[in-house]
Amino acid sequence: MIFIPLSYYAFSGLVNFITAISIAFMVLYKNPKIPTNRIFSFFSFSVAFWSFFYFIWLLTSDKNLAEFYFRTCMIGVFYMPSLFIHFVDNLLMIKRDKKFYAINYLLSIAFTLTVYSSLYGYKPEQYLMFPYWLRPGIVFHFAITHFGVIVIYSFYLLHRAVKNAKGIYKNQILYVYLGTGIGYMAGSTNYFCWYRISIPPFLNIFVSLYVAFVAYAIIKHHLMDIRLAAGKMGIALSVYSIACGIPFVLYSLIHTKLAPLATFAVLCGIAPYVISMLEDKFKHRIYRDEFARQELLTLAGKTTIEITEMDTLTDWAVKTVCNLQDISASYLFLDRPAKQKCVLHAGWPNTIPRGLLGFGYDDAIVHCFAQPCPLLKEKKEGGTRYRNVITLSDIEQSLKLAGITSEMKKRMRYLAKDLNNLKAQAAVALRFKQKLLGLLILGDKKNGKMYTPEDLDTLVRFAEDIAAAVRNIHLYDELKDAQAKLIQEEKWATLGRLGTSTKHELGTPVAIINMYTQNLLLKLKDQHKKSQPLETFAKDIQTIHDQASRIINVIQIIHQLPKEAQEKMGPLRLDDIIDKSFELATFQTYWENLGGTEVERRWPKDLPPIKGNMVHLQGTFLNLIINSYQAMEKIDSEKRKITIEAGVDPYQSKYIQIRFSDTGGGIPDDHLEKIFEYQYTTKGKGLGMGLFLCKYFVEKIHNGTISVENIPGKGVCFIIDLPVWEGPL
Amino acid sequence: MIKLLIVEDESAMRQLLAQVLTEEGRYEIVEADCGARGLEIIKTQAPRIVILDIKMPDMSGMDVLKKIRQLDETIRVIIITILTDMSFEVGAERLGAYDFFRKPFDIQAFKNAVAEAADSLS
Repeated sequence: MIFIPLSYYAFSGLVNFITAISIAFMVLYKNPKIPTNRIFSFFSFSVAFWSFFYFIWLLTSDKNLAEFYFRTCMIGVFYMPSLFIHFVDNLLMIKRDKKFYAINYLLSIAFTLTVYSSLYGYKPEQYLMFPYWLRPGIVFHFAITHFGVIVIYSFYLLHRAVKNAKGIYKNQILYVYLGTGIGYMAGSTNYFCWYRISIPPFLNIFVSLYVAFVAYAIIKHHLMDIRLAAGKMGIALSVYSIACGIPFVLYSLIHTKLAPLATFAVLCGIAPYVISMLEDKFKHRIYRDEFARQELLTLAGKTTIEITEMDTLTDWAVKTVCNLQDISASYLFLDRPAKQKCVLHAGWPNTIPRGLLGFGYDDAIVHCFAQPCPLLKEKKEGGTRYRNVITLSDIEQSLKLAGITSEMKKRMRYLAKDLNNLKAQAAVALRFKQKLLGLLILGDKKNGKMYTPEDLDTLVRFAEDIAAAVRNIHLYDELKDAQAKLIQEEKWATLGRLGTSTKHELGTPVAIINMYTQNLLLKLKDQHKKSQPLETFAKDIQTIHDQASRIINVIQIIHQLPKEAQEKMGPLRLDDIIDKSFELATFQTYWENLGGTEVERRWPKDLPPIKGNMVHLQGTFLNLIINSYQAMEKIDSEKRKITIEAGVDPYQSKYIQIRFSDTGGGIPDDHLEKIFEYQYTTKGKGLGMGLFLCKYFVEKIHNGTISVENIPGKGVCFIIDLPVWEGPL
Repeated sequence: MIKLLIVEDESAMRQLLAQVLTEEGRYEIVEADCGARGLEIIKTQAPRIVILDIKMPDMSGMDVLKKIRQLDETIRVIIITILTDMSFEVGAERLGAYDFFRKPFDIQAFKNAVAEAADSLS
């Protein structure tokens, strides 16, 4: 047997004490409300208690005092099995009759009551290098049996759980299993001396390993998520040790009190600043990757506003969230009020057909976000709010919380089931102004870590951006529908206007043809009376031909108008656009034939072609012409004049500026800005869509601009900018 | 020869009517392509018969008819129109139109109506 000096055992006691007490405080500090945390911290206190008196015992040379410390340290040991099985049950969510724990704790108390009597141990004497070690009394055998049975049973439970568990949960249990296993094994080496087996507790120092393992589980696998707390505590401890240590060293060197005291005061003064600075750095360090990802994700969320197709958006969102947050899978569900369901819209990397899966409004996962759910309630500064995210581990922890109604538990289990069905870890609500628009369901993180609160914050923010984008697309679609309806309505209105003039426009040439042929037939009948050369009929036949052509023209115009306007762009000459627009206008105002309005065109012969769509631009100018004409009806026909000027825009050479003005007296200034609004009309007739459509055609379809101003004493002037055609001609 | 005015904006129609009536040999034909010019001719040349179109760019034939009635009660006015609105017919009758034709109409019937109007003058 290698001789190990007594000081090693004392040191091992000290190390065990420091590590156990630290972990106990940290776990408790993180969240004392969660029973798992609380019980584990009590367990660590019991280890710390034992280690502390173990350490003191070995430093004490006085026999009576040493015996007292030795017996006291055993009290810690009595509570270890009771607390440990309690903790394991909680961790593994094993339900057990409370009496079981009561009996355990009662046993621990019973052993405590006998610890200072000879029933527990007697006759401390030197054994191996230990100056005072008790011999076991009758209670000792019971205590060690209790200890052994419960601890072995606990390990059986842990072992079974490790075998069956998956994912992060498995990792957490595994480290608790390994850590406490090594701790118990190391600690058990103390029992040999009781039975005078000559094996010293040489492994005692490894008791502190359980702390290391549990700490690893905490840091790496977020068991009881205390790494930030641990870090902060470590930083505070180190800074204050240095703040106290430097004056102490100084004192031992110069042996005056003033300088070290002053140093101490200064150091203590700056310590809080140093701590807060180090804490920030620490936080950034442990969350460095997450911070980087979060930034990317936040940035990514901002670009969603650009997307106008729902499928593109959802596909992009599930893919992005997976790639940037290192998540194994994600699904996006969208609310379909018509179906009373949230329906799957996109998934990554598993592409499930859209609409195949859905959660009804009554399903727990939709229900918990759609209504204010106590499960998501949290108190923040400024009152209570409801979180937009829930994780599987939240649910598991909440299930462990005391004071939860069975109804709530039932709902939570359903919620967990919904998530488990999708192999999901978290669900985030897509919410826009309180309204639930959908759900983002997320799988495990690829690195096996748990979602940190920071991750969840980022995901919630990302979901907010997605929700805003979803809302935008809804609006955009509605607008598109409204516009399509509008264009349709305007077409019907045009047809209606045509209807009135069609009778005349077609009736006149038909009447003329009818009567000319009648006349010709009459003449042919008279042929035998007075013979006329055939050439005399030529003029009449020409007239008939002209009138027939006129009918064909009308039919072509009518046919062209309601045709679905294709948004195809091509090079257009302004002359053609204006010609065709006037052709239509003349037709629509046939009776009046624009009432003798004078039209002046002023643009250079070499004006570049416009990049545009003939149907839409024709519609635009037709509207302007009709509007102007209607405005000018009031005035004398000699004064009616439409002036169209055009040229390359002096400020942007890629645009042609067209100024369309009339002499209709203008529009009251307070109406000027409204005239492009939907369903705005001052004429008292029509749908008030003409100028709305003009703006739509010019700005949305042609990427141009249209504005209006009054020319004092004359009329209005519409200023239209249309892009120059730059492609091949 | 009876002076006859044709007020019709559609030149082909006007020319046809002029041609047809000229062939009758009873009328001295004057033409106008709009209401205003028609009224001017009525004032200056005093036609006895007016063939009047209803729908014209500058003013309605009904307005022309009203003005004619203010100027001279005896002028025989024959309305020709493509409009099928009954109110025009009724209104025209009340304003003392001699006859009413809807385009296209039978040329022979038209000629007869004009002849009747001419006969009624004397």
